[in-house]
Amino acid sequence: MPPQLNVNIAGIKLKNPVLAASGTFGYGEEYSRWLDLNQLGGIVVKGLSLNPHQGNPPPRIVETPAGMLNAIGLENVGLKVFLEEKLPFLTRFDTAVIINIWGKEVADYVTIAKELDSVREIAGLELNVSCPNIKKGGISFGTNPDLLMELVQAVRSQLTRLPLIVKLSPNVTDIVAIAIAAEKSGADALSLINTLIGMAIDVKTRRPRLANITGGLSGPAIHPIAVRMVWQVAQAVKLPIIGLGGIMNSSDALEFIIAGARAVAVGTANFITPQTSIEILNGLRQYLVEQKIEDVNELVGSLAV
Amino acid sequence: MKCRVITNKQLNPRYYKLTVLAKEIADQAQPGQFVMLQVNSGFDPLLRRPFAIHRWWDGGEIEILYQIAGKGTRLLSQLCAGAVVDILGPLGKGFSLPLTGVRPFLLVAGSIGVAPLLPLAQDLISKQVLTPNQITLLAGGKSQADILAVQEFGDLGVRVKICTEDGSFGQKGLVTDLLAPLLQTAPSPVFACGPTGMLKAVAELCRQYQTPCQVSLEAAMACGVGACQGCVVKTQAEHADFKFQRVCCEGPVFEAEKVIW
Repeated sequence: MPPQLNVNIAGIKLKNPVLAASGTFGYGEEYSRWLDLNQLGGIVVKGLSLNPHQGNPPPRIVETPAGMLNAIGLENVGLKVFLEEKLPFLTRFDTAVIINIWGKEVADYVTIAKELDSVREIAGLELNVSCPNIKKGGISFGTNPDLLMELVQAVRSQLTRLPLIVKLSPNVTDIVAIAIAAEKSGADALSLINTLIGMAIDVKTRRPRLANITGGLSGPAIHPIAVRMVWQVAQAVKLPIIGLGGIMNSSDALEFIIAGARAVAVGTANFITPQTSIEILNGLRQYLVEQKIEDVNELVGSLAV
Repeated sequence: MKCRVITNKQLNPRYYKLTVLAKEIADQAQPGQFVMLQVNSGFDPLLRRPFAIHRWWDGGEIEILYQIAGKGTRLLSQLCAGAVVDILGPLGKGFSLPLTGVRPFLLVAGSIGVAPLLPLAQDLISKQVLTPNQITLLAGGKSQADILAVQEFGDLGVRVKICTEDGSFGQKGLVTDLLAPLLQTAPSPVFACGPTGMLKAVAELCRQYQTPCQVSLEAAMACGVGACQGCVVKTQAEHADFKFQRVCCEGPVFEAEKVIW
């Protein structure tokens, strides 16, 4: 019998634990020429805001050893265009659609969450808490437990149907404290990690390589940090976890699952090989067969220490 | 797709020509389109590299002209015949061919920027938009080594004018020094590819002489398929000061007057 791959993330039923990570898979349509989207466990759509957002000036990306920095600046089409032009395409596929949402203040998040809660084709919301809170002097929501709790409670109280996934920022002193704050304030699941803030300089010109000066580091360079954080958080909270950060192959994905993630999301690897998620899924299946594990859920948090 | 390297030839100390077998890409390619090439399967360099498709044949071979610019292209230059590289493509929106209003066309190349202009010249001739003598290539570069593919244009019957900044080949000066007098005599449609500074100067001349100009832009890219939004360029917008468009999807070829330089 083939191994059982269904997982359940706070009520979001995934036919397999491999998702495409927000910001690395566009609105799905960009990749439909290159792989069968039906094979994915789910797609986490690019960070969506109430109004369209233009993003940062170029250069927006720079390659670094085994990684890349990006400062796209959350460019997106806004809620209205998303619902009218982007979502109908995505819903043609048998895959869970999760919407990553962001705002500049709590009210922005609340409004968009409320609007999306009634959209039947959506399976869940992922809260991007790495944006600066303009009402609180630009401190990122995800770096302060009190700010995070306020945000999560406000959004959670508006949702009647959709599970709320909080995507944690690694740019904190103690990610466990933030994870606990998210759990206490009503998060249904956690995803971690978002990118690590980094910087690259052109030594010839002495100018930053990104117009935004700093950017988010992703790619295989961050994988061990992400695995460590998932493992720490999994010890401290009961919430289901989506693990991500530098997954390039099935072994990278398995590390997250063994560390305590119930699902994984593939990010930067999509840019390099659009079919990476499918290859990971195949590798995962093969591993379960070889290890004589009937259900992928048995592997979750099975780290032997 | 996995593609076998047929040849990887050094043209001079800085430039190479890579020919690979990529039937699906050759079957679909349009002038001005590009591919994303993965130089090896390791993590450094991590990302694919974008390259204009320089030539392709019915048999499925495609050719890329490249310059050693960094780690990725250095590794690429070390590949031998028989090696396998992974290539994604063809990608992007190439040149638009105006099918009516036959006039002489000017192709303007800054060194390696000549790469996508060769298939454009071939297409214009094979689709009988123009006869070869109605096309002129203006090729510029710092030095003689930067003047590439002149033979191929000559074989098509296209007129070629050359200039170099150090005067080592052709006229001494910038490619815009060749372009300005031609536009002054007879404004002609311009198709240009090269460094941003050159393209900006070409766009300015075309605006001055009120002639249409298409430019093929270059940008750092992560995905090449429109997902990462890393490669944007500022362009004119109808209801705003500007908008960002993706070089990989809405480009790499843009109308020069739409680009905010």
